[in-house]
Amino acid sequence: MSYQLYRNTTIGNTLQESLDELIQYGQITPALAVKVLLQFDKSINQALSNRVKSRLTFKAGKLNTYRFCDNVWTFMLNDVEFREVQEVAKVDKVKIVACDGKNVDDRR
Amino acid sequence: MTMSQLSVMKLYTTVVDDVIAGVRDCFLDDGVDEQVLQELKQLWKTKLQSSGAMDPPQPEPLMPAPPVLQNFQKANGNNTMPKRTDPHMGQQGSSQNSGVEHGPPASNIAGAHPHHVLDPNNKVPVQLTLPAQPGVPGSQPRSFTIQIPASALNGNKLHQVLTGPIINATISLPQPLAATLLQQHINSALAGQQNEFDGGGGGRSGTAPFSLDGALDSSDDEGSNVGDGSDDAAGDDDEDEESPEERAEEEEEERDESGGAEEEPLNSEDDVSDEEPGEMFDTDNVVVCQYDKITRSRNKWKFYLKDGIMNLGGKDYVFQKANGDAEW
Repeated sequence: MSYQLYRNTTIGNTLQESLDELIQYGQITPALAVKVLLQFDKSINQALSNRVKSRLTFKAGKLNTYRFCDNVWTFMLNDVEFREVQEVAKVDKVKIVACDGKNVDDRR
Repeated sequence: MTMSQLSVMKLYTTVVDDVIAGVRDCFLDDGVDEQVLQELKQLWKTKLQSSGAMDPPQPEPLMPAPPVLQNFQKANGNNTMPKRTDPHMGQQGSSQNSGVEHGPPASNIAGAHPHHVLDPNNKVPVQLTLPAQPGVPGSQPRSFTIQIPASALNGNKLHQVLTGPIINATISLPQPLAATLLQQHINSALAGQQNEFDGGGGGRSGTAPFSLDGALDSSDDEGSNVGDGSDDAAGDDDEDEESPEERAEEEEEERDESGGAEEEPLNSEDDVSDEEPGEMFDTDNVVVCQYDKITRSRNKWKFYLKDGIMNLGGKDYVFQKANGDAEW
């Protein structure tokens, strides 16, 4: 069982749009699309934990809102500076949605 | 963060290949042709690329379309629903807000697509083919021609308008009805988008509520809007099909009744229970990740995050670890 939250990202959304199209044109069934999404959950969870090495830090001017529900944290941060070594990205508003990182290892 | 941009592209390629390889057996078991699997891969990669999320920041207009396509994405996500259905749209104040929100894409589009500024009401015939109905013996694919404004040929507009629900709604209809319904749907949806790109419709308060109801709202006032809107807003775009009206209106209402469930893209809502739209939690910059630890001492918070995908200003970044702090 892998987290499904990555479906709500660029790569997840584009997959879902592609599946929607294939369903609309009768090329695959919704059930098959669900299987593809489950495979996506597995693949993206694995890829993130095994293949990504970048580390970054961030500093927020303000934690605007926080919410903890069903073990999921949601934060709204203002004036955030993300920093990876020399490179910096600044945004005035960001939403962070985070699932419990420990659960996943247990489940695998 | 150029480095991570490159690794994002590599990571996504890996994931696409991995998923496609991982579901090959499922496709076989379902008796679905390998070609469909390849089509899925192609669709997915194309959409990823045109999302602009993996474009390196420096070499500029490799990709003239991203503003539109990003809009498309957002339109499909839950997050922007409140914006599009903003009930205060008619008020000057919030119109301005929405003008600000949609301002940058609008100007980008105007720059990137010179023909956008040509007469947007110029109609262009476009042939559509509805697929045969699954499970209905003897059902044939049907083609017909609809008229759409030339402006809709830009980017992906037509694509965003012809979404699953409308296809599903028309697939079982006899051809003339389906054509009328599609035409009407496109007109009203495009009227909405036109407005949005124009910066929220400004003072044309008669237009705004109509258009905002267009493509995405499942509310049941849509049918009536089509009726009583015909003397003002709809007149702009709908003139030529004011006649096959009544039946199409019924159809439209029928579609509304079947309602909300249909409007949802696959798995958009049921899988991510924490992603409820809400104005508080509505922003373009999103980090999706897992937490190792969240700590707080008085008003000082520390975040220890991992395995994240970030979308900042339309670009994707990934991280293994991200530590940060903030004060509440």
